[in-house]
Amino acid sequence: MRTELIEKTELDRVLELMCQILGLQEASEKVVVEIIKKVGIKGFFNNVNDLEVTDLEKKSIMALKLVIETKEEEIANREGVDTDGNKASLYR
Amino acid sequence: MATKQVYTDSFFESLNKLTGIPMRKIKDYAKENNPFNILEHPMVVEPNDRQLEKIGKLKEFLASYNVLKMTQENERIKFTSPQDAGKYFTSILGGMKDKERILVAFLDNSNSIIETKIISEGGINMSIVYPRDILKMAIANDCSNILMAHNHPGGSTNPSKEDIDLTQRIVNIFKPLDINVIDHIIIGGYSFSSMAENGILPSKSMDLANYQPITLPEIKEASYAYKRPEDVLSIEEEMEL
Repeated sequence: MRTELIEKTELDRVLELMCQILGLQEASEKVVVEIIKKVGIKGFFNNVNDLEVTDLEKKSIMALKLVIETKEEEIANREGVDTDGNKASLYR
Repeated sequence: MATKQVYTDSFFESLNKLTGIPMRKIKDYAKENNPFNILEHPMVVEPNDRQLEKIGKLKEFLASYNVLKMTQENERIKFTSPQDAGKYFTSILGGMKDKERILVAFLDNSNSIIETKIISEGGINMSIVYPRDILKMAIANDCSNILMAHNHPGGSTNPSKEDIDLTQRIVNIFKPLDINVIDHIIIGGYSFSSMAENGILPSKSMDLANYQPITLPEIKEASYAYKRPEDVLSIEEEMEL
């Protein structure tokens, strides 16, 4: 399983889960899938306002974006501690 | 120093929108706890079936999202810590309860992945590892380091004696070739443990390389825990307790 294959598997998984979590309509699902494939997952969340989906779906996507960002902040805070210890340098 | 995470009302609203858990329950729980714990231990907010399903999907999504982002940002995933490795392998093996899968990531000298392979896919009872196959893959990839990972279908992240022995067998094969086994990650549910981080990773070749297949038998949950030599109490110490 090459890295590219793992990426494809992850992409499929992310797309499937995301559509389920957001409860997207079929047309919106196509828009979202197409954009993520084009600009990547991070790029997708950077441009939510421009998406051609319903306002309700846009709000759900913004909610998911906020949860992701909060989780990332939390990880960054936690790893700040680790870099002072031995964990971060263990493989170097 | 870690700074205390501040959770905004918008965040709570988002979590409510995505999971269906009432805001009041989320906020009450978050007064004393990390609200992300709800994803790991949903029963703390007593969800109904629909909410439980949504929580599970959100949790799985966040794990997959991280790996996809990492993969898309870096053409080749690089490991600098057990956390990197844990996140990566959890995204692949996390939540798998049907069978045990053993993966090996073959790494270059900067610990970037050259290739990741499933080297064994067992049942819930046992897995068989063929060292010859791993050796062939390592040579084909011209790797400098190796990172191993496997899941425990039972959910424990504690390495068993068999897990340590398996790692030692692999070290015995690769150490003389100057290929280092830098960690063995154990995935249980969506959590992980690192043998390197826990100081139990075999690092030296202790015996001649043995290429016979290795069987990882079914391990009962109670016997998973492995005690480090320093954790094992002497008879005198035990008597004092």
